[in-house]
Amino acid sequence: MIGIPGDVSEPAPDWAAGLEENSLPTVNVTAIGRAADAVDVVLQRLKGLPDGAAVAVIASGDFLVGRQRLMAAGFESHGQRLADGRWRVLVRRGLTCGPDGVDLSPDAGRAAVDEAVIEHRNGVPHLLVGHMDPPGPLVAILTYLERPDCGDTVVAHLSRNPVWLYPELQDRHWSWEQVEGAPNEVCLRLTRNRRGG
Amino acid sequence: MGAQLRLLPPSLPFRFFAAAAVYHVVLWALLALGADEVPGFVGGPGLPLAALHALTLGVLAMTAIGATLQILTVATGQALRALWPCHLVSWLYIPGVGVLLVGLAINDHLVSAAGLLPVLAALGLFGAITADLLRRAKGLRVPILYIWTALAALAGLALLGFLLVADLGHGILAGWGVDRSAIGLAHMILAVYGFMGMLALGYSQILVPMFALAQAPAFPRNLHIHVALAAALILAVVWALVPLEGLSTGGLIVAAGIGLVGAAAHVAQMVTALRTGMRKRLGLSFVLVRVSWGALVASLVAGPLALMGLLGGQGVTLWGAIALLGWLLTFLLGVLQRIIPFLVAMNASKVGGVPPRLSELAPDMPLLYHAACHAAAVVLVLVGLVADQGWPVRIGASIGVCGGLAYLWFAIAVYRRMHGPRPERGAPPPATGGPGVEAGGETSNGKR
Repeated sequence: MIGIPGDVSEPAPDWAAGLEENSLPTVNVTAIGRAADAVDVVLQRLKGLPDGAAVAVIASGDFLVGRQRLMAAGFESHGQRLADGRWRVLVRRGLTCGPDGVDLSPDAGRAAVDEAVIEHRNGVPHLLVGHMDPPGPLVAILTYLERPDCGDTVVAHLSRNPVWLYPELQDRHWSWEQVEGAPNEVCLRLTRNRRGG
Repeated sequence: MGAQLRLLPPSLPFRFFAAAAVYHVVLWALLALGADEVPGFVGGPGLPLAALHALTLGVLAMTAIGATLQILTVATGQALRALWPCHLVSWLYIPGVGVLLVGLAINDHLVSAAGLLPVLAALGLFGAITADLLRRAKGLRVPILYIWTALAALAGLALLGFLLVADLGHGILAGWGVDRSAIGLAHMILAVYGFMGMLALGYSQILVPMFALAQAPAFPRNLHIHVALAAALILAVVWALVPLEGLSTGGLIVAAGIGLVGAAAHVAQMVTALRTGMRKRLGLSFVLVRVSWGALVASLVAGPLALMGLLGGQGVTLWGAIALLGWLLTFLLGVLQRIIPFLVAMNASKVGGVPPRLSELAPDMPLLYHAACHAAAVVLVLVGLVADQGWPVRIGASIGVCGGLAYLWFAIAVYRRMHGPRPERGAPPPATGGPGVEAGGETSNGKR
């Protein structure tokens, strides 16, 4: 998958260069205000298409937030700024393994999040998952990160280092750093990567 | 950060995975060479027996050791007390299996014993390491029960295996008035449904929800399932050893029935995890896993049918092929193709540079080749058994060799990406933190 660019110049990956753009289904989301709603529209349009099939999304801005959510769901994308200032984003379902096909519906993983204890400290959500057996903490954290109302920073409190979580965070464009927590717990500050992917 | 990261030096689990990938090729090669003897094989020395142990010891148990050492430490949060016993296990076990296979293939009980003794020593040591981890583990009640059961089965099958090899040279079983085929059947049941089966079912409780991003199977239902399966295993072994044939068959059928109910309930729990999990597209790996679940259930149907003589002269062999190739091997190869990239991704961060993404690590092509070859190979072997012909087995096993080489290609390609250059991305890499990992111990880094 390609990364999300921080500027206008974005090299086209091979899959995007090989598309016949005029024949692609087009989804215009310029009139949709919330990125989450726009993503839902795009996902709806992509539903049922075979692997490798693409759609062109016309957005008023660079659609970065929407692209991050699509990438977390296993889609890859390539954006071009059009002459009129709008963006044309090519989106297709990824072909390789990774966070493919992640269900963004609010029901998915709800039970895991329900089992976690969520506290807000200074406006930052803290997920207390140390009491859960594997893979509960992994599922709860990833589910929480996928929620539309999830901010850009989350602190996770675990009983052990979640080594299986890191590759998943990497694929979802979240960074992590260890911060001081209570004795016998692993405390990680998770931060969404806004620039570069 | 005290008892947290339990990631082993990558060479440790990977040497077992690499050896398993090599013995996977050896398994199919031995099966191809001994294809004419495979239909009707129910034990006894020769190439089919060597192929059988290339599969059980070389592939299944080999992977189980590597996976247990790594997954159990991570899942339980308990560190190994020392790494040298794990190294010793590998030094004894990996070459020991090779020597044992040679001994079985050429029907030389001294060579077999020369291989078996280090293998048994390694398995004993592995059992002690695992038992120590299990004893200190907190939580994960049901998966840990499965692994305890697997260890108990390992002890039993090792004892019976030792008797069988000793009997090859000295004929001791006949002298004791013990039926060798009964010992062989009990040994097989303990190996398939006991050691390997319980490990596969136990790790499924952790790995399947983890890969699917789903909740773990519900307690206490998973405990009830384990109790049923463990009871079925004990009954099956006891009835296999009962010297009265009619009684033994009846008892085995009852045990298989209990096992069938337990296995079906287990599969239902796993399917629920996949259905409710966040990750819907699990790729080829879970195509193999789903097929393997079907084969698990099929094996528990085929077993009683074979005992009742309803599957013809090849019944027992057919049952063994369904259980070993269809269930255990297919399951293991499916799961391993997700575990290896995970381990590489985690370990790569200590090699330097930006950690690779999972999506960059696993090449699709060799897995596609492997899946196609594996399916064709298993089907052809089964066709050969049903038709009582060696040539379909030979063709199937030859295709299996190609599939094994493709799997080896996959494993090497993933491992190389841990150290080698990574695919370029279309944009600057994200500023993502990664765990700095030190051998056997701690994490040292957060954000890059």
